[in-house]
Amino acid sequence: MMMHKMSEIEKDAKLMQEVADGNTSASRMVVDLHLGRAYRLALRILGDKSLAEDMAQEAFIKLWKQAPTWQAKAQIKTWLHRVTHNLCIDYLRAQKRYSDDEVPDMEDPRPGVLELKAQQQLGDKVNEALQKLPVRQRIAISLVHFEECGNIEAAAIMEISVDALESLLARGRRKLKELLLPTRRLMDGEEK
Amino acid sequence: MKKDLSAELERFKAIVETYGARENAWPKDELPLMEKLLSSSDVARSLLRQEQKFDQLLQDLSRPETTSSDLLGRVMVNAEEINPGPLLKSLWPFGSIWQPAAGMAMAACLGILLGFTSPNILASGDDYAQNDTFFSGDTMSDLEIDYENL
Repeated sequence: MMMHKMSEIEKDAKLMQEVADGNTSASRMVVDLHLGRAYRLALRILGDKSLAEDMAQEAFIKLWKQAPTWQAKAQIKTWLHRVTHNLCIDYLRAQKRYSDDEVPDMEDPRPGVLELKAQQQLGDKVNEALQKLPVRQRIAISLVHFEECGNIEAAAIMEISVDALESLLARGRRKLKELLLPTRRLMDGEEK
Repeated sequence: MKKDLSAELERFKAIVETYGARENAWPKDELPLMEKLLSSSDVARSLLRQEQKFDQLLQDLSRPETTSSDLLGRVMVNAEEINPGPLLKSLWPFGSIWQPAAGMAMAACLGILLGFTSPNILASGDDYAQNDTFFSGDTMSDLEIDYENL
């Protein structure tokens, strides 16, 4: 597993060297592999497509700038998740929708209109439910359940301990079940 | 013994309720415990099935979000602006440079070769001019003199 990760890191380093040399095919490969991830993470955190696109583009600008000095220390995927996460958190902080001293299970204090707009844009039941979770639970769920990050990787991206991550995940998943249960019952009813 | 099993099942429950039913998501150091309980405990298997149902629900209710072509284009433009590559590449962005370069070199060699081997057209032209002057000069005056002497 560790060997596999090492080779992934080395492969990514070679790819980034080609990006730095101006190889358009290499840049295109990085975009094909990772733009979707960055965009989806931003979308799940922010709940707004246009903002999510801006965050994903900003994260990639940082990646392109980093290319000439890229070192084989991390996977592109992890690096981009971290940068996208940080950009989104900075945005939410500026909007006063995020705090490091977040009270456990505190709801995202967004106005209802914005929330409704986001829900309409997403048209996706899981994303609708995700937008109702506190920001850090939402991020933890997005990283582990949707982006398939390991617990250590997700904790590193969020700059928290694995125990703290587990706590966020457990509470977030419980809340998601509560929110999605009516939908599940509806689906079960339709099946019958 | 029973107490140990109960504690292990509690941990199993906590893990599947936190990370879901996907084995890849479980903490690596907990895998032996998880596998042991899955092979020996009906309770563990039942707990796993419950979480599998919820994972499936998450899958079913998620709409895959794809990136727009506009975003893709913007990101690619950024890549070319920030890391443009060598100057030669920006002058010849159509792929490998050796083919057009070899073609140009061949054309130059052929031109030089033709230049050395073909007859000297310019020099021949001068000869004609000289001859022309020679004939028009002396012959005409000779003719005029001859005519006056008639």
